[in-house]
Amino acid sequence: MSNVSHSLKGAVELDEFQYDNKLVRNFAIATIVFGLIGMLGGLLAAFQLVFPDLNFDLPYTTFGRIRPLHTNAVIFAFVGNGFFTGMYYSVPRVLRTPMWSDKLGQFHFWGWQLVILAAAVSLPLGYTTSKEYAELEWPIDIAIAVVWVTALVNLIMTMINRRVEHVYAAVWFYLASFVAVAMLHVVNSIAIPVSFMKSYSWYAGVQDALVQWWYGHNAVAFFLTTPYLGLMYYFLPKAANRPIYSYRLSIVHFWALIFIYIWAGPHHLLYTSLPDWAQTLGTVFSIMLLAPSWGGMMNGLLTLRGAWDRVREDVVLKFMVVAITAYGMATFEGPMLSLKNVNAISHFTDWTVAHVHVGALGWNGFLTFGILYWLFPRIYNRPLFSQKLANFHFWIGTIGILFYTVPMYWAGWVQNAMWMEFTPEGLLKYPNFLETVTSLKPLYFLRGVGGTLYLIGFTAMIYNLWMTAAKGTLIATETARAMPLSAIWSGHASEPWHRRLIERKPMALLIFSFIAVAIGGMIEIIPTFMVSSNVPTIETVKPYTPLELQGRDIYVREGCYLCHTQMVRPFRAEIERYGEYSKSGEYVYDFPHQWGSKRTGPDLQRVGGKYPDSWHYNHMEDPTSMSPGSIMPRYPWLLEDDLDISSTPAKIRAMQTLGVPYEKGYDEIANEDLARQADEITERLAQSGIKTSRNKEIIALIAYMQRLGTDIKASN
Amino acid sequence: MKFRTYLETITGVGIYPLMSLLIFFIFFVGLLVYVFNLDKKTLDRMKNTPLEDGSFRKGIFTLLFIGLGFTSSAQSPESKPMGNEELVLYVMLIFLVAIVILLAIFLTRVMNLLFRINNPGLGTEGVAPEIHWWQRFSGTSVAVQDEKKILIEGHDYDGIQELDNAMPPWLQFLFIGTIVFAILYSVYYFGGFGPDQIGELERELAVAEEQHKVYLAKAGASMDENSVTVLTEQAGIAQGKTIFETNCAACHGMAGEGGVGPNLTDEYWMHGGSINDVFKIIKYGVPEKGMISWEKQLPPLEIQKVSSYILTLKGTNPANAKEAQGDLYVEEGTSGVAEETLE
Repeated sequence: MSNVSHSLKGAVELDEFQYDNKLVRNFAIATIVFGLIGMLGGLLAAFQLVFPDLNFDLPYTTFGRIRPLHTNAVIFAFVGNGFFTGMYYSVPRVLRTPMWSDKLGQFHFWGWQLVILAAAVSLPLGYTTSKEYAELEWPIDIAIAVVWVTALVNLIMTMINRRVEHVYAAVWFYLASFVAVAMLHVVNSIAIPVSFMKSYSWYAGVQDALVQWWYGHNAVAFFLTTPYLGLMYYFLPKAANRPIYSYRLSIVHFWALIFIYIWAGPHHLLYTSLPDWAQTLGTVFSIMLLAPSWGGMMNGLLTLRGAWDRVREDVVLKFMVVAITAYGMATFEGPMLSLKNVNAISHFTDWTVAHVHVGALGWNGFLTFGILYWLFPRIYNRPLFSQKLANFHFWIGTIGILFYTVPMYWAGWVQNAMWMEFTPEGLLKYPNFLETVTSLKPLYFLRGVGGTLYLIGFTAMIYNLWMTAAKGTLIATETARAMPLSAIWSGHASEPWHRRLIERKPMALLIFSFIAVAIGGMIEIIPTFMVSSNVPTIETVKPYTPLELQGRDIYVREGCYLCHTQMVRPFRAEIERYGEYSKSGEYVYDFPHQWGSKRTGPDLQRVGGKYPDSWHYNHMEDPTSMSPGSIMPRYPWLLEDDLDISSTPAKIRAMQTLGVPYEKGYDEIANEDLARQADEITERLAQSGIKTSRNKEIIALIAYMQRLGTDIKASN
Repeated sequence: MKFRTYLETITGVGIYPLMSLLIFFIFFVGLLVYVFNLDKKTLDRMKNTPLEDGSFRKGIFTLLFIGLGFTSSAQSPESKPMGNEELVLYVMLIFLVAIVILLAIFLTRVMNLLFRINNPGLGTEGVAPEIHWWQRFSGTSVAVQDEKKILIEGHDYDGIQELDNAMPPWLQFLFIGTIVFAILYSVYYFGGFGPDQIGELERELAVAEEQHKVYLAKAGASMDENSVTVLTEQAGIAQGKTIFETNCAACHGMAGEGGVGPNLTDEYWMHGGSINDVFKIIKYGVPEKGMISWEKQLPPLEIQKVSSYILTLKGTNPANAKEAQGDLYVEEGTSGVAEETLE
């Protein structure tokens, strides 16, 4: 057959078809709008750490709710839409076919924007699962899954209907991203709904933490990295007008990257209660990730061979070079940070914050900007409005990144040094945690300045692109011609196996990439669930009382885990500061876990019984009354709002379903116990001269805080 | 460990980030001024620098390596928080040597380039292109002008073509190197040679215990609630005041008038009012009443200072004083009796 089609090549008529630029333009606008919102959120959060008054004493604007808004907006709205912009532009062109379905494309666009809107409303309202970068509640999670799979179907059908034999590397990266994120999202989001907009994670404690960071780490991998590598493989050679440096390198680094990346999740849990073996796996795979990551960087940089003179003049290339360099730096730092002794310093400090912002501001941000500056003149059919302004954006953005990251690295090192320092007497040199935070305030301020500079550049881009669009006219569709696939299909038996078996067969590519990303997670996660020795039982650990459970949900709602960890690592400095190190058996009723990833405030794992109830009451009303100089927001509404106890029976039943050993029928009488415990606390507060009523939210929160870490104290 | 200690002992260390920022800022402003003031001639000359022969790129590569060397060496002292200092020293030394070598290579290249700029026509004509080991190693053995030979036929994606360059050998070595490291690391930990994290903690605690013993032997026995005496000299009391204001005032009031905690200025004490009692309460706390233990935060001498300061507050009658709690304490004779049961 192949011979026949070859000889017919000249005689076959060319197909004529259209590329849709309108969808691309729409995604580009969404990228810009949500980028602005996400960055403004980040800026607000940054300055809240310097000026706590910026929390405005409102539930909706406290750091604990703004921070997830910032991360979700930047990751899923800005970078997500940026990915889709580039994908809907490049996929039809490299496959020589329009997208399979315009309707699915439209559905993808509007569905995704609605999801983002739902997130932007629900997160400030306090609807959160408390799983980082997966905070959205279950109805939104389902919507995400539907939209995501729709887009995946559209992509794979477009690949099947292509007019080139061999699928280009950019599309491999897109496809793998879709496959992996679908898997990660579904597994991590499994939860039992309690009501509309409230659910409990299916997993508890150690298992929940492992699943969460398997997800969290690979959200970085398959949402922020591989989609953007795909974009790089299209837009960099287009902008530089150079061939890709090495096809072989792209094959090896693609497969190595997606296979190895998925294993590295546990490096977010070094020195925690996660079993040692899983931690070790996380470390070794992170180290092996270095070369595959750099494979992407080198294929990008070496593609620019012979075009470096243009890099000096072309602002698009400038953005792309800095983006790729930032990617190289972040992926060098990543493996180093997963070495245990380095991680002991970086974990819970601003070092991690600096690290991710090199990636987010440098790699994702700058690549997006480069692509937008390249794209707008082409779809609006006129040169960029102002090269000068674009250059200004480049420089102020670069300086902004430096101003952001340098102070954060410094802050991370200083704070860790202060945490770990002992006096010759054998006491902590900085026993007051607050001291280690307030000393960072100037650095936090500088970080805010860096963010401001970056944002100024971003607004310059908005103006520039706006003017470009206003002065040009959108080329809504572009006509192209190509021979049908059947006419060009040669199917050389002499081709290398990977081309015959995978790169020409979209479904095979889909299946093999799924296998590659599924293996690592399975090997790490399944034994943690199945082998009971991984979580040794502690007899004294009992389920939460109904009041404590309600208090815990308030803790989750207010996003306390964003600044307070619940994980005392087995270091001398930490057991000296907080008490006994955390054991995996303590968390068996924590649906979901609250280990946290950043210690802006002290660890709370052993806070139970440390202070009187009245201390907590006063502290939540105004933290500076008990800790002068504290940068924690005030929570006055907790003192005023009534606790909703109508949800108690449903919550107890959900917990029973998850295997928490409440007695049968306890859901009916749980509120009686709740009232009893609330009375005790109200009574104790009254003794300290605080008048309140037992049905306030603060009572439940105090009950939960006083319980924290005490189960194991009782056993000692 | 050492490095961090140094950082902490520098007085006013907080000014350094600001200074580095200033330097950083001045550098950028300087650079901007320089760029703006460049005259057209210099600019043209720079533009015509022969960059396409690869020298510039090699320079960039070398610089990249130097940069990485710096990054790693900057991290290495941090990365051994519990390791021995010698190792840190060696690691730093190796990086230093590597940097020097790379610098030397870079400088020779720059010299070479300058030489060729000054002597055009030398070395470029007639000689068969020879592939330098560095080109092979860095993956640039096929020159840009020869790359048509390695274009992959039929790979054309919206005008994007692909070359059939081999993977850069250094990258392959890096990959293999990390795999070897991963295997060794796994053998070390899975094979039971390395301590698990609880083992590490025990080691760390043992070292601390040892150091503390040495310290005690040098400093003499430390003070406790039985041996404590009231300080009378003004300096100690003043320090006690500072300690009080940073640690105690939140609950007991700036003037000791009381708040969440009891009034410390009257003659009534819940747990006794002698220096020994006060010292003991501060040291161990009264958890059931909400007084936390300060044993781990304040060394004995500081507890002595703050206890002595508290005793000076008696009878100061501050504003907003909390009502008296506990029993009237009469000095001499009765101290240290009622509190025996507290713990």
